[in-house]
Amino acid sequence: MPNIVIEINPIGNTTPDQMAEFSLSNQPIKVGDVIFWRNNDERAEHQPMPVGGASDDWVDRIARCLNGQPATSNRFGFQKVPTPNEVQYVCALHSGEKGKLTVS
Amino acid sequence: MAEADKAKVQNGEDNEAAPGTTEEKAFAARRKFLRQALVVTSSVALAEFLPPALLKAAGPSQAACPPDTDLKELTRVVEITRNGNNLQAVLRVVDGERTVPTSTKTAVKARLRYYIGHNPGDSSQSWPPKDQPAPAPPGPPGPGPTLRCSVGDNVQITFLNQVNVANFPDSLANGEYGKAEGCDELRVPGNKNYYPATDKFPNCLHASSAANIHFHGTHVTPSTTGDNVLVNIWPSTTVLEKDVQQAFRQTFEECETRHIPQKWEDLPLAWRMYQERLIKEYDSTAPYVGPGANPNGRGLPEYLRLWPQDVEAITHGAWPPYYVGSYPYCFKIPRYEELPHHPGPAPSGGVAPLPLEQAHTGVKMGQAPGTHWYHSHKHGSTAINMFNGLSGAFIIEDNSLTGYDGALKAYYEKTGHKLDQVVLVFQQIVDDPNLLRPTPQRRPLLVNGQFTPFVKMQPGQVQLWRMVNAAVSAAIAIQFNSCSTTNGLVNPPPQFKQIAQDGVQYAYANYNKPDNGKNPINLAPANRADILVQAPTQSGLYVVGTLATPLLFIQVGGGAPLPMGFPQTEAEFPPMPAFLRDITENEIHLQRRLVYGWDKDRTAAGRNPDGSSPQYTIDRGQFSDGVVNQVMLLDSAEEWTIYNETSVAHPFHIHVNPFQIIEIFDPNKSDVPTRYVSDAREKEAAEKKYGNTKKVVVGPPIWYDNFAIPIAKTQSGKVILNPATGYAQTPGYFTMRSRFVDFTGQYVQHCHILAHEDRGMMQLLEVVSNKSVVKHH
Repeated sequence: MPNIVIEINPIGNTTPDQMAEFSLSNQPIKVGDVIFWRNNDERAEHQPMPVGGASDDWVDRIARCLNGQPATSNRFGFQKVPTPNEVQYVCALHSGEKGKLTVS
Repeated sequence: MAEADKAKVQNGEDNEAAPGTTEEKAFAARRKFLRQALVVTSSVALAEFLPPALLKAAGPSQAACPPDTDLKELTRVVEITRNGNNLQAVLRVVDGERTVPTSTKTAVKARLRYYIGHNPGDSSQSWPPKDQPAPAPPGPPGPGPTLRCSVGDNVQITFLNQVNVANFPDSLANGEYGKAEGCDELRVPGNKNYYPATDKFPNCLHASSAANIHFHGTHVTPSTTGDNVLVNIWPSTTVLEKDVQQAFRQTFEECETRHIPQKWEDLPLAWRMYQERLIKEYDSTAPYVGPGANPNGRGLPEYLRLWPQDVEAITHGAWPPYYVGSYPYCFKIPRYEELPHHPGPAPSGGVAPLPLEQAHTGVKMGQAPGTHWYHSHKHGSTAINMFNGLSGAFIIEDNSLTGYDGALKAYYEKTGHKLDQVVLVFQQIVDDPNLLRPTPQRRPLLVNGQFTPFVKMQPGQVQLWRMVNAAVSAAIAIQFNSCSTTNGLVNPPPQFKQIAQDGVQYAYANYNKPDNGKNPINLAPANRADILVQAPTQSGLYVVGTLATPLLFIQVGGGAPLPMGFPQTEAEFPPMPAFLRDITENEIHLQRRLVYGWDKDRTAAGRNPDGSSPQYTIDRGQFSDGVVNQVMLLDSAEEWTIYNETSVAHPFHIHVNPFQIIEIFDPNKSDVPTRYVSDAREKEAAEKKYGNTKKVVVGPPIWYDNFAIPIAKTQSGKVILNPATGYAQTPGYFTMRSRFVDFTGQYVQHCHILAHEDRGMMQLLEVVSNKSVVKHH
């Protein structure tokens, strides 16, 4: 049950809804894994949240990267396999940034 | 899960799991079994206090050994040794992905913080070794380099914390995000407060990328650059050895030739300015998105900044608590000499400045030579850092003719043999404590980073094994069994004799007790034991532990039996140093009573229905920053009785001074306590005094620095409560005596199940001067 890090990487062609992308848009994880996000974007904060949930259900806002020093989120994980086991998530601050966790 | 692995999941953090799924319930059931089986007290001499389940497991076992091909030879950790009278080392905390073995054939990957180190004066002493081809990444986990020096030496360690925080979630106090007031957080769907639940800062898991070093077992100053666990070194990947080399050389020279720094201004100006810059830089750039955050999400609000807290300390003449990237540890390990005692430190209330000629001689209680160790001791992250492997052996020798090492060496050299030493560091290595996991993790016990390795011995050979239980929560039973046969008959197992406990040698009378070598040696977390182990004359494979729960193996072979043996007479055994004379009743200045406990009305460990964990306490309270709980007078001896109102055998540990145990009461084993006395004359007097209310045993009392307090009286695994108070009706306890000598200053006593310590089961102590500059006449 390793810690799994999902990078938040800046993209070139930004829009107001999308400044960055998640390194693995479909991340397989296991029950018991600890997940966290690492913000490599010097321009903006980000905050992954489950689609349909509250902005702080999973993690707090993640500060910007500064001088090459990324910021990390707090920890998040599943105690049991959700139904359905594919969980869609989105950045609370940029609705165009989307990802998916597949829990087994 | 293999049977062997099941048995390695041990007690101590049982409050951390949240039983729910079938697997979790099975895990909890195993923990319950093991809690019953492995609630232990320390020392072979105290084997009578072992629970029946453990004693049953300790009997001779016989089964097939695993094939030799499944096992690997024990890694001998590189030693950093003294140059002249100085032990000089560079210790770095770094991080990386490691392959952690979970059985002889399986492993998992984990990102860990770990020690690497080298001797700046000897490039051959480097850990991991420079001259060996690096294993394919990720490398194995394991302890830091072994440090080895002698009593009287100067310890000079360049400590660098080079952890990359970007690899560890919220590991520099989550308060920077404005939530949970500084505690680490774990969220699960439907529960934004899975952790910290009801834990409150600073008694919660937090700031795990900060570090420091505790030199466990040393009798040295707890202040400034000594064994000071009240400092916090924040990480920096940009602070390198070369950046601090010159300043630290200056500091070390000052320590060696004059005295250790006593105030901030005693450190080199260049390093002080460097620290100020680094700390201010951290304060202004740390991620923070909580209330009052800067628009760029960087920079801490004033109340969270580190530098103002350092300035406040400096202003009040205290030692600053926060650093970034580097720290110079330097102190002298006192050698006891029969000299007039020094007049005592100046009554500064802080560090004890002494003229060199007095500071370095004439101590009341020299350092006990033996097997000690070092580990990370940052409050809030001791558990996670030790789980990552931030620990290592620290061996302090006395090679004089009558010294512990010198006498042993002389005994074996007299018969033409060399006493080979094996250093064994037991660790549980995982990335996070269970409280920070959505489900509990397996935590097999590793030896020098390996899963059940083997030690090679020649038939009949005697080796000195120096064992350190550096596990966060697991108790270990050291015993020897045979799994080899000759002509259809089971080979006799290896023989052993315990010669030291917690880095303090046994008195000959204890070494010579008939039961020494007959019962398992039980090591609670942080206990150490030195044993002489003799290989059988028959070649083959032997097991340390049981086959169901092996810790390691011994492979015997390779030549004719060596005619070695154990010291047989008092003249052949190292004499007890004069400073370890028994502490008598007449010496006792004060008696104290401490209570290790938990929430009112609690009867068992485990999480509450709301997901919160037990609040572990000492004297009904948790650690409180800035509050000194016990004050002792320098050069006085005290007698403490330490009670346990819980069903967990909390290992009591106190820094700086070891203690002698004179009484133990395990209400689940006996109706009366056992009293240890020095000799037959004392026994007679004690029996007269106590009648049949105490069982009196001739000791002499054994020295420890860590002892698992017997649990309270239980029924069906639950503490029997006094209905009037809501606390244990019959607590377990032990009584110890200790001399608070040589060093003033602040340090701690705490539970060595480190998640308990992190969560508040700790007290701040202070030894104050017994002199005054004020004339009152």
